[in-house]
Amino acid sequence: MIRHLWPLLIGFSLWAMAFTALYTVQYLGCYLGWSPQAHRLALVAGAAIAIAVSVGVLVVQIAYVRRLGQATTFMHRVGIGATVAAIAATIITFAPIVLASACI
Amino acid sequence: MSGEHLSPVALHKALTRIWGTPPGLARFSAVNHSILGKRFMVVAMVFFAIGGVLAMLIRAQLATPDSAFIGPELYNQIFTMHGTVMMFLFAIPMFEGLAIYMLPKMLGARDLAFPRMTAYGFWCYLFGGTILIVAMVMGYAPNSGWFMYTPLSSGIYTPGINADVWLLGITFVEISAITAAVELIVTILKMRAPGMSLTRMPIFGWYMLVTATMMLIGFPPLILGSILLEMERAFDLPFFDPTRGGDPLLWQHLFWLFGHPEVYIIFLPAAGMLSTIIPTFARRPLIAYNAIIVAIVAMAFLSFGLWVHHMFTVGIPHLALGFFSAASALVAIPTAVQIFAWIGTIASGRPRLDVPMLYVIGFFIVFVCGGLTGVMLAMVPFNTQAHDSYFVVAHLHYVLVGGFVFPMLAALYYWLPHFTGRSSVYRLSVPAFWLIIIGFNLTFFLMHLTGLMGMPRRISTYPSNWGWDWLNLLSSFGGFIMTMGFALVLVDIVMQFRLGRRGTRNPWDAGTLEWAMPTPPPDYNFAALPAVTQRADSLDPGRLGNNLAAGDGYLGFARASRQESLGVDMMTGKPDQVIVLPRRTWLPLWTALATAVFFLGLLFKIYWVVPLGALAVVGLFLVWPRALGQRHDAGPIDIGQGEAVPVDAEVEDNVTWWASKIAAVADATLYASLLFGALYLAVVAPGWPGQSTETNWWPALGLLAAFGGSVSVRLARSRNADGTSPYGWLLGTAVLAALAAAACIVGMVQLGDATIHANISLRFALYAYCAIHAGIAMLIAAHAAWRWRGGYVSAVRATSLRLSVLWTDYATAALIPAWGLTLLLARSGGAS
Repeated sequence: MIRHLWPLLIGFSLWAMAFTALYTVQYLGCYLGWSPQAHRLALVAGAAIAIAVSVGVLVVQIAYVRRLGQATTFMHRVGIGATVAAIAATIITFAPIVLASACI
Repeated sequence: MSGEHLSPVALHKALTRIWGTPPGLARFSAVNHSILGKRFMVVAMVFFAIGGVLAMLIRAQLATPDSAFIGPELYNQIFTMHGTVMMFLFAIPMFEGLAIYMLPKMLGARDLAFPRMTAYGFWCYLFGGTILIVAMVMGYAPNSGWFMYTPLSSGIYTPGINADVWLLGITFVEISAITAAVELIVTILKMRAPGMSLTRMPIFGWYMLVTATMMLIGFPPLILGSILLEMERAFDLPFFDPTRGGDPLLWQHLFWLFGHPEVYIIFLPAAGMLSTIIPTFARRPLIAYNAIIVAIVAMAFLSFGLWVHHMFTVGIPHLALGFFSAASALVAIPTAVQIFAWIGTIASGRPRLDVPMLYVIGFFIVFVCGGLTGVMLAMVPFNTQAHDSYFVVAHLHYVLVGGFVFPMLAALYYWLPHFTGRSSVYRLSVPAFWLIIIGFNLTFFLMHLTGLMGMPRRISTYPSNWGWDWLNLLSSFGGFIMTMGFALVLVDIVMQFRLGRRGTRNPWDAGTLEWAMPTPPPDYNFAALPAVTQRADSLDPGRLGNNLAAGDGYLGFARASRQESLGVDMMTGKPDQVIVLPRRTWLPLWTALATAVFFLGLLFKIYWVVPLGALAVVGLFLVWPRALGQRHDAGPIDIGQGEAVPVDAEVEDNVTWWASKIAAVADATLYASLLFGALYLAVVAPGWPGQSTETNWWPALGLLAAFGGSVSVRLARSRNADGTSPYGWLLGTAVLAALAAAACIVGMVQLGDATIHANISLRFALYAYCAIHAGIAMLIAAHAAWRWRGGYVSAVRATSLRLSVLWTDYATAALIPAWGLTLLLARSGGAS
């Protein structure tokens, strides 16, 4: 069942995992007293990985739909839309990483 | 095994005999979803009226400056109860009731997957809500605000039972939310009409599937927070006390982890109703069906990433504020996608105006305003200025009344002919609408201004020279106008029930399945289940209804006095099992009463009663499956249309199995919230000393025993699959699970005084959670052994064993992070 719903859920699941991970890194960096540069680098790297993985998933989804051709299902088509929306959400949500102070 | 084919009238009588609930006292044993859905809605409306009266008292108090109408102490109780009643006792149960009543009908099923659980949830809702209302009448209502912030709600600042009433009463009520979430998900996924693939499901089904999933994940953090705060108040375990390693902000995180998704949990069903009503009145299919599904999924995820916007002023670092601010603004986009889809549907159709559409228009006006102020409040600088002011009060009412009450009123007028079988009288509904919309805007639009002028929330009075006088007076005036409107709606509903003319079956010419049955609906919904060959919101209910009433469809017969409905493959809608549903019983009522004993024992601190109540609840739940199942393998049976499928007991993919897995998700969310709380306190809370303590090895022993249980239960399953006796291995599993529970309990005792520091109380809570789950694994293994002895388990009928594997594995898995955190917390300090 979940296997069939994955195209719809994967994009925002990655967003949710990235959100949890980056929020944790933000708190842990402050708690462990990381230098501001190292802290920001870790956060930027995390966000970049999240975006890259999401884009990779989108590419796989598009390739899969092209390969299926006429056999494409509703869930695959809607799934591509959901992943595109999730990538946009990932970029916008984590944009403050390059601007805001992490521990103040 | 095939059923008896009858004439339409004889079929109706036979099915009514099987599915019906007799009048009189027997109504208390009802488990039918139509009866219980209506009960949920009626009780929710009673609570809405109570919440409305409280709102009137608030507005009477604030109408004039320096008012002495209500003293501050009573005012605190009244505004706390107004929020609590409206959020927990009206909004959520109201849409639950509508979904319980409507979903099986829209999906083409005869009932929900777990009728007795529906009844149990209803009684828990009624009893829990009654505890709150009775406490208010007696003068012991909660008084710390509907979000019960600590330390105000902690024992030091709120002695007495006022806060306990909230914590225990709401937790009692939330049982109904969790049970409803589980059974709505299972019903939507497994009990659709044959041929109704997920892509053919009516859009309301999608909305409710997402909403129920959000409830499953959204409510456990609140339940956990309530349990921890109650443990702090009752037993002095300092989870939120900053002087002993706790942190009041942990409560805020747990509360808003529930509280913000809650807004969307309330909005999404309303949006589902709008997506059903608007195409009917626009006389064209909903546009952008696919985009709406993407938008619903996006809202569901994003809504869990913006809870901190309720906490922007508590001193969180700017970067974290940035994450939550961006997510808060972002959620407006999927909302707007739906708004534009609805407007586009109306614009491109041939819309006709009727009373439901009046409320739809009211929704557009009010909700869009609320959404725009929501984007304003998502911005940290503005939020900092407007925080805790009447601007926020105005915003939240625009969102919740606009996003729930107006759609709900539209839905009420839309489906009222379905409930009553009568057409609307309509003389009162139009003036009622105008009173509500004018009164609402007069009341709450002005609150934006009072808020921007600096009036804080929750104050019981204000001086006359601060410029708020006229605005408050007009707000109060508007509030009373709005109340008159709601009173007219109530009168209108009663009049339709009493005086409405007998109406036609499908008065709005809708295309969904709930209209393919007589109105008011029979207890069994459909005499035969339809075969769906297109999207199930563009059907012809008139033609379908006649065919189904004649028994032309699946299960168009009465068989062995059994309540039968069909289970289908989740994706394709292909029938794969006959689901035999339990008939009416008093067990849900008795179990809810035992649950009430448990909660009342805690509330009144009569602790010897608490284990008795718990034992009674467990004992009664163990009795529930007694009448279910079968003692032989029957193989595929006739379902009509030349097809045959096995009964649910002989299928792996049955509803019981899915419900257990889904319940485990809710349980795991609660546990994840507890683990989050432990890590949060260790990292963020003040007052964590650094000395290490001796390692407590008992949970590790518990983990070993539980792991042994996981191995043992697998051996039992393997032997059962081979056709040999699993009995010994099941008993072995029960013994090992009992040993795991005992080890956890000894570990709790070994911790010593858990009131000294949150570090110890957290470990206490972790071990208690693991002990309870090892106990559950023990009971389920013992129960499976008992079922096997009774002949209810075979190589094919192995659900009991699979459940035992699931819950034993869960107990084992829970012990792993508990043990890991034991090592971490022991090294991060706190005396042991």
